[in-house]
Amino acid sequence: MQSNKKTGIHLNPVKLQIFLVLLLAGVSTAALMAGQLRIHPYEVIRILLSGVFPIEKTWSPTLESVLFDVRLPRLLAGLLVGAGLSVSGAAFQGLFRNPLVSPHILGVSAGAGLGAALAILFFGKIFMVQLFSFLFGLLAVLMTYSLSRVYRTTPVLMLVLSGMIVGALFSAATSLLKYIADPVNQMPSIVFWMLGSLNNASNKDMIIAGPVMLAGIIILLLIRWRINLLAMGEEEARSLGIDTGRIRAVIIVCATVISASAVSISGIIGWIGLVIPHIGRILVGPDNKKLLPVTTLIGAIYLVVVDTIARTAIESEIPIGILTAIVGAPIFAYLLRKNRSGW
Amino acid sequence: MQNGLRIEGLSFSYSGDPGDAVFREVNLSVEHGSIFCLLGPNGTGKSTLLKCISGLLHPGQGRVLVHGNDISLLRAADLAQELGYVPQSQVSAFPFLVEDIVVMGRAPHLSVFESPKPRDVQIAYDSMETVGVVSLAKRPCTTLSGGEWQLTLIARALAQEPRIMVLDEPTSHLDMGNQMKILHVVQGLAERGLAIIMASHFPDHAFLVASQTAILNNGRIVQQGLPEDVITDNNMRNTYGVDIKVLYIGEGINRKACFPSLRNKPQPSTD
Repeated sequence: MQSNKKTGIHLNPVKLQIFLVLLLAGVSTAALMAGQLRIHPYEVIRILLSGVFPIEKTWSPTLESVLFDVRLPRLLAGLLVGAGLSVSGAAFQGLFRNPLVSPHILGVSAGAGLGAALAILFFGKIFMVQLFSFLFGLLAVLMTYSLSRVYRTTPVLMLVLSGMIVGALFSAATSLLKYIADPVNQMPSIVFWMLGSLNNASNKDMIIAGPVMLAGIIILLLIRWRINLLAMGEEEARSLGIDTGRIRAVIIVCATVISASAVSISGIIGWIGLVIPHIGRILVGPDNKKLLPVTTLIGAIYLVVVDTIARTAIESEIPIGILTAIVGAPIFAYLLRKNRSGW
Repeated sequence: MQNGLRIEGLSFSYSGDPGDAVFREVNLSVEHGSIFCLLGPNGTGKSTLLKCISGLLHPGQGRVLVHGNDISLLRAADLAQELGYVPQSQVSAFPFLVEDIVVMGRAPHLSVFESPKPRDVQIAYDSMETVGVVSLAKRPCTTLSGGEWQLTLIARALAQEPRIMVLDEPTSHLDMGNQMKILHVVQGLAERGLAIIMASHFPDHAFLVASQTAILNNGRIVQQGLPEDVITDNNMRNTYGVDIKVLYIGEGINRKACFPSLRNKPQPSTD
């Protein structure tokens, strides 16, 4: 019977969100425990609470330093980058009416890549690398947006094409820099940076970028129902009284600030922004009112898990951009096989 | 009595140059409780005219008055509370459920940060009830037939709680049964007091439901008035370029209908 044709699972979103929040708490605790220096979960919670409450310190200062200066900022970075890239991806997929879109479509990562390569070549300081990748990420998207405004008839299509043009330009410039870079030191650090890692996440990063990313995520979550209307197409959305130009600009600004910040902290991490929204859609359906919160949570959980594997699986660190795909591809293939999500 | 919808001296061209206007000097009005049927050959600008009326395109000259207010002075959300636009069917990129789509009609009543409340969902369900698609509420829109999709879009426009509805060829690509289903729904909306303007390929549809009709051809309204006066052998031949006989049918049907013939008989020009 036709009425049984259902796409996706359409789980109860409230129950699912409670489950995901609990899972996130569990995964985060595990991430703080795991590493070369193993910390007991009870100890983890006590040390964390000692930051707020006066608790007698029965642990070594090394332990506290590892937790507060290394693992905690790295955990927060993982949470924010994972959540931010996923929610931006979902918002962009609605905006561009295309489930194959990732947050990088407007050239933010190509721009950030060039910025990072420039900084590695000329300054070599990690702070400058982060600053330059952030600024060049913004610059690339700004160029894409301005270029798309030349033709005013089909704004969404023009944005995609402009993104391709700007992306190609910045990538070519990055390749040129790689070609002239010193092959012993600079070249490997450019390549490693492009593969992505949360290794450099510090408390300072979190204090600067954290609030910005959080604000972007919250704004996208607040306007999430309107993304449904945009997904029906420019004209239909306008006929329903939506100022499509303004809401499109808001989404682009939020997603760009989030992904430029993410790239500046962690390098280029692909795959998450593309695939996590699909996993969310399989679980709760395409309605962005339910999809965006679920996608945000799954993205955070996923990146924390993958990053914990990246830093604990073998002696040295595995670049996270490689792992997100190696871990994610089979999961995604399995889910696709089990459920037609019907997009 | 105040008209629901009034169009005065409307002209539009994509280039902004009045020389290549899609249509010019269009005047018409639609009262509450009645259906205005816009006829004309393909590509003559019916859709463009309806988009101007709905505020999606901005006319070069003239104005559109909704309950006496010039729509160029209204906020988009305010206009969408007065006027519902039903586009020609198209596909959705995502498999939204029918209820998700219908509740989108509540958008002009909600602020940017709001999502639909239970009251909005109730209104959406009432609209689906009126149009007769409640049974489809939980179906993904990608599995709908053409007729079901069109009814869903009408339900969405109805959820806007407008007093005017604009439908762009709501019966195109539908079989005869679905065409009549749509017309029946549209007639029901007019009986509830909505002012309705719709474009159609089929002159017969004007005889079936319209109280006023107009022919748009070569950028001008050729004639407007009662369907019986407007839809004549002569007007039909000039509009569609083939011989069409308009005959009165008794036999329990009791209306006029159009009968096109396959070839043009040689006939003196009737410019």
